[in-house]
Amino acid sequence: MASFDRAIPPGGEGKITLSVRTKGYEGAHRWSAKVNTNDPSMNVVTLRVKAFVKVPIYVSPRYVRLYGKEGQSVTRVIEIRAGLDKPLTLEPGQFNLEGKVKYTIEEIEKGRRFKVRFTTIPSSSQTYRGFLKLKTNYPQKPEITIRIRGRFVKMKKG
Amino acid sequence: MRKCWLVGIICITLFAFFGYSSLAQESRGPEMVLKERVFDFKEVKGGEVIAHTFKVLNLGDQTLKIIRVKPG
Repeated sequence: MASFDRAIPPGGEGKITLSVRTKGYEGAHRWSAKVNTNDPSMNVVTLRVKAFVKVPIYVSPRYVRLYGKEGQSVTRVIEIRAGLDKPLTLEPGQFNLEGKVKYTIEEIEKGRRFKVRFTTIPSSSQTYRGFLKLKTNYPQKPEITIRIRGRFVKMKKG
Repeated sequence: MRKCWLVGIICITLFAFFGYSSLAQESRGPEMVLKERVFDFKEVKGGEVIAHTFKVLNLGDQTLKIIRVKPG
C-alpha cells in the first residue's frame, strides 16, 4: 500500500510512504512501487523496501504441485526448518489425498530441518487439490498446512 | 575610431547582460530528489505491518506533481 503527497512546491519536501502486510510471507522478500511524476528527468522511479520476515517455522516451497502425464509417478520434496531455538518436532495430522499421493517425513537435522517427500500414485488422467496438516510442538505455530495440487493429463496418441 | 570602440563595448555589454538575464529566467521545471530509493527493514516478525516513508525534495522552480504510486 502507498500514500503520498500529490504536489510538492518548489524548494519543498514531500513524502511517499510504502507499507506492507507481512502476513503470509517468510524469509527474505522485496517489495517495490513505481512512482510517476511530472519531472521530465525522473518520469518513473522505483522505490523498494526489503525485509527478512521471521516466522517460527519456514516451509519451502510453500505449495506442492504434482504435474505430469497419466500413469506417471511424480515426486516433489519440501523442506521444513525451525525458526526458533527450541527443537522442532513434527507429527502427521490430517491428509485428504490418500490413494492419490503418498508422503514421507524425514528428519535431516535433529529438531531443526525436515524433508517431506510427496510421490503420486500412478493413475489415469485427473486433477485434484488437497492438503497435509502437520502438528508441531511450537505453541506459536501448532499446525502447518501444506497445500497440494495435482494435474495428470492424457498421453497423446500417435 | 574611439566611437566605434565605445559602441562595440556597449553592444557586447548589452548582449552579455540580456543574454544572461534571459538564461536566468529560463524555467528549470520540477526537479525530484530522493534521499534514498531502497530501505531495508532487516528482520521483522511475520504478521507485522511494516511502513517506511521516503522523503522527496523538489529542487526545481515549479511544482513537483506525484501522479501515481503503484505498488507491485
